[in-house]
Amino acid sequence: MDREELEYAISYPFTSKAKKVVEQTGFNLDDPPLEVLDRAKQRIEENIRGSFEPVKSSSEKILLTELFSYPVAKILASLTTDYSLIQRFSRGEAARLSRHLLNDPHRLSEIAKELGINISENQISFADYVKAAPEKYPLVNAPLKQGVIQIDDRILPEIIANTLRSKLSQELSKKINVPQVYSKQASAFKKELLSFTTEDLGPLKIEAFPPCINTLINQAKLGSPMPHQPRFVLSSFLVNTGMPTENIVRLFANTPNFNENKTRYYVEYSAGKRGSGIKYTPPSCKKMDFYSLCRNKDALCNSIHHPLSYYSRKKRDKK
Amino acid sequence: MNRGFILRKFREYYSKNEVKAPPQIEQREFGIGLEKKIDSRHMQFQNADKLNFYLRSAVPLYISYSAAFYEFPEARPMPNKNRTGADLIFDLDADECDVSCTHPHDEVCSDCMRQVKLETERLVNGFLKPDFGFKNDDLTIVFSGNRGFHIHVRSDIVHDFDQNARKEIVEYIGAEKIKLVHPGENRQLYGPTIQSAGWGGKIALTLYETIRSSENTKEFKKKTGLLTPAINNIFRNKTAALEAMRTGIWSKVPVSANAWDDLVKDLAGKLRVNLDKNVTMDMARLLRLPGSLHGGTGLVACEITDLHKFDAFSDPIVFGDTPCKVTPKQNKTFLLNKKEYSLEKEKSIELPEYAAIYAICKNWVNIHD
Ligand code: SF4
Ligand SMILES: [Zn+2]
Repeated sequence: MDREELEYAISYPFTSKAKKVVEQTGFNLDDPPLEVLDRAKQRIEENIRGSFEPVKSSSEKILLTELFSYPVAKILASLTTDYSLIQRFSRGEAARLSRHLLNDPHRLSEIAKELGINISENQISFADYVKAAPEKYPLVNAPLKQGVIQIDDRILPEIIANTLRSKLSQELSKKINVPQVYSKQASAFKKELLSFTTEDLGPLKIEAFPPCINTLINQAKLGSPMPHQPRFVLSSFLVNTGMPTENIVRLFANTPNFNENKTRYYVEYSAGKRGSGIKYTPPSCKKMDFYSLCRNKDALCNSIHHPLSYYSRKKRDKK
Repeated sequence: MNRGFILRKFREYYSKNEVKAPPQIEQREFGIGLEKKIDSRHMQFQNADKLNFYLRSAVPLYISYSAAFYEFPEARPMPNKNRTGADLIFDLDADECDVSCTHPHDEVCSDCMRQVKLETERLVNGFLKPDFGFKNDDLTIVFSGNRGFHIHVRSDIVHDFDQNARKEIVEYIGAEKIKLVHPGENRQLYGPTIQSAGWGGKIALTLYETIRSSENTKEFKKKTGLLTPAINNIFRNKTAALEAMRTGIWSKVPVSANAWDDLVKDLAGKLRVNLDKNVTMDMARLLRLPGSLHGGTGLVACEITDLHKFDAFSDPIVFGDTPCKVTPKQNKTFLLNKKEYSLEKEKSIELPEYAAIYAICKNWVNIHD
C-alpha cells in the first residue's frame, strides 16, 4: 500500500480517492473487525468531546484501522438516530478536516470540489456560499458581486469544513440501509454512544422550564392558536424532557381545531417514533428570538444558548 | 346576489382566457379559495388544460400555487409530499413599506403602490441583478392582484436552497447582522472602500458621496436622515474621511469601531429593502397564480414586463365598462383606471363593470339585479 496515498485517505476519508483506497484493501463494511469497531466508537466519542489527535504511527495495521473507522463511525452515528449526536459527530469531522486543510493549503480547491463546491482563484458562487459558510460569516458581510464572492484565504478552510459538516449531518439524518451486523446490535450501540453525550436530563421537573416554554404552555392552555413553529418548539422541547406523549397531547387540547390523533402523530414524530425516526430538539435561543418566540427572558437566559440547556442548568441548580 | 354576479363574471373571464401553467405544473401544489384566500390546498394539476378546465368549472375566487416542487403534491401531511426544490420568492407588500398614509391599514392608495413599486425596483436593480447576478430571464415579477409584488426567481441554482440559505439571502437584502469595520494591524480599523463589492461598496460609496457633497453635518443629516455621534468627527476631518473611504483604512478618522458600526447599521437601514422574510423562508408557501383573478379586487395577478411603466390601478383591469348599477354600503372614493370614483352611502350609482366588480369584491357596494 502506497504510504502517501494511505495518509491522504486518512486525512480526507470522504474523498473519492479515499473510497478507492478502502476498496482496494478489500475491507468489508458488513463485517468490521473488532478493533475497527472500537476505533469507530472512539472516533465518535472524540468528535462529541471535540478533542482529537491525529494518528501518528508507522504500523500499517493501525493506519488502516484509522481509515476504516470513518465509514464505520458514520454508520454507527446514523444508527443512533439522535439529532444532537449526529450534529456533534458531524461538527467533529469538520474540525478534523479544517485541521488537515491548514497543513495542506494547496489542496483547498481540490477538497472543495470533492464536497461539491467550486472554488477557483478564491472565488465562490453565492449559491455555494450560502450552503457552505458557517454562521459567523453571514452573506451580508461578504463581497458579493454578480453572484460571485471573493474569499479571504483565512476563512476558506472553515467554509470547506463547514460544508462537510452540513453534508454529513444531512446524510446521517436520513434513514439508511444498515448491514445486519450493525442493526442486530443497534440498541446496544445506541446506548453506548448516547452515553458519550454529556448529560441525561433525568426525571421531569416542570419548575425548571425556561420562560419561553412556560409562555407557550400558558398560551396552549388558554386555547390560543398554535401555528407550526411554536407547536414544534413546544412538542420537541417536552419530548426531550421525557414528558409522556399523552401529557403533551393533552396540553394542546384547548387549542383551536385540536385533533387528538393528528396531535399524537405530531408529538410522536418529534420524538422520532414516526417518520424519519429522528428525535428533534427545539431551536436554539437565537433561532427562538428570530421567530419571536423568545419571551420573558430572565437572568439565567443570559448565560445559556439553548432552551434545553436552560432546563438542565436550572435543574442542576435546584438540586 | 353579489356573489352570484362575481362568480358569473369570473367564469366569463376564465372561459375567455387561458391561464398559463407555471413551469413544472405537475410538481406544484395548488390551493384554492371559494370563500377565504385558501380554504383547501394539496391539489395538483397535471397540465394547463386540466388547470383551465378546473378554473372554468369550479370558479374559485382565489387560486395559488406552491413555490416548491414536490414528488407528490397531493400527499399530506406536508413531509409526505417529498419536496424536491423550490423557487426563490420575494414578497413586497404595501404593509412592509413605511408610507405615512392616512387611510385604513388594509387599504391601498396610489402612494402606497408607488412606494412598493420603488422598493421592488430597488430590489431588482440594486440587489438581485448587480449583487446576486440574476438575469432578466431568471426573474418573474408578478403583481399579486391587490397590494404588492412577488418576485419569483426560477434559476436552477436556487432550487435546492434550504431554509437557512434562503434566510441568508433575505438577511443580505435586509442588511441584518451587517458588520463591516474590523480591527487590524497597528491598531488600525479596516473597512470597505468605494470599490468594494456587496454591502461594503454600497456603504462606503454612499458615505463618500454624501460626505463629499455635504458642507456640514446638517446637510449630511438632511440627505441621509442620520445624525450619529460619528458624523461630527467625520466633518471635523472631512478630507481624512474621504481618504478613509478610498483606502479602506477607516481609522484615518478618529471614530471608534462601535461608532462606525452604528453609523454603518443606520445607513444600511436606509439602503436596505423591506420585504416579508417569512415568505422567502417558508418553502411551503402558496402564491397567487399569475393570470388568475384576485377575489378581493377582481384584478388579475399578472406577470409584469416593464415594472417602471406598470400601473397597478389600470393595467390589471380585465373587465369591460358596461354600466352596472350598484348601491354603496358606505361612503368611499377610489381610484381605478385613472379615474376617481365617489360612492355615497345608499345612493345608487352606475359604475363601469370593472369598477363595480372592484367595489363589490371590496365589499363596498351591493349590485342591483
Ligand atoms: S433566552 Fe432562550 S431559554 Fe431564555 S426565554 Fe429566550 S429562548 Fe427561552
Ligand atoms: Zn396609501
